[in-house]
Amino acid sequence: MFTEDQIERYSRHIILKEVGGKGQKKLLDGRVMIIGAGGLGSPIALYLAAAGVGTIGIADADVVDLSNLQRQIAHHTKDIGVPKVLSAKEKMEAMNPDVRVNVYHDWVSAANIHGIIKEYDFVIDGTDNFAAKFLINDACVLAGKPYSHGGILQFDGQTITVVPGESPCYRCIFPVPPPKDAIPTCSGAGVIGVLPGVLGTIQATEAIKYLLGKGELLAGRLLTYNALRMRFREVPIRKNPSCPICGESPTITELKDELDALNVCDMPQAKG
Amino acid sequence: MKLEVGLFAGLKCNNPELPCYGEREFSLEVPDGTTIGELRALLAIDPAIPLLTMVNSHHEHEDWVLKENDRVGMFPPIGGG
Repeated sequence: MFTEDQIERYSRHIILKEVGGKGQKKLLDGRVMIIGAGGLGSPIALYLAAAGVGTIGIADADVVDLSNLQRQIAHHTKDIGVPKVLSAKEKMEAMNPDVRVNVYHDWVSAANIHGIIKEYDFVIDGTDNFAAKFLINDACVLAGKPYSHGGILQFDGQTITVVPGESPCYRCIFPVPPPKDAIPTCSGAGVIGVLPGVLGTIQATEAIKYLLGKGELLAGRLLTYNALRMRFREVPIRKNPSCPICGESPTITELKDELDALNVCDMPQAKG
Repeated sequence: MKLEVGLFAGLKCNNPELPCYGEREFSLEVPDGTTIGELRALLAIDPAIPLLTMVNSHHEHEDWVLKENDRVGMFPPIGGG
């Protein structure tokens, strides 16, 4: 079932008892959707491609900007002005020809997200705004799709894995998004370039473990990271009975866009 | 009563009347029976920001009543990527 090249390429996976030939086959048959092809999306896309995850979707409407390159390692200087999804696809396919990359050159919205995630086994949130983060949570909970949440800012990061029906979701922790401008999320506040590498590789690890069916997912515990103090904290989270989407009497029963949470920094005219 | 407070991911004490003004990790004297919600109001943290609050490593809600020497950690959501 493997070619000689594949046996060689994946040999360091195959010798792991938790992976083996069977596990590598699961990765090659696996389908992961990455939403956001920026700071978090770059290491996620590159590592999942290297690992031989057979079908990887990647969604982002943005184009590569010079100010992205300090951290968005899937994009090179020559890619400035190129759609991020095409730039990422080029690197992923160059890294591993076994991987099929489906690109969605669009922002996710209540109208399109279900169609984007439905064919995938696992979803990864690498977006840079609360509107998208809450929409991804809601879409994954309603579709019963496991996903990894990640967020970064300055020197801080957070990540949690959500297995709908089993573990708490993002709204169990934060029931509603903060209003726009309440929390800085973009160019104004800054981000240390290595931060998405730390958080993104954790998110990619969760996708790989999910596909393999091995280990323990980061479910029911929010992992927080501060790079300045080099400190990880694990915060145990319980399901919230009054969660607006996965609680006992949910108020969110269909997808809607959190317009108030839209971050103006994502709008092209606000770029400064 | 005295609390040990840690504010994370960009949060800080915004009340200029308090000795902890501008700080992220501090001890603070508060009235007995103060709840998590009352503490965040005292620290003048924007009430619109949803917070995850830990008390002695347990996740608690805003109406939780704090006790002497509790360690309180507050985490906002992080929206960047």
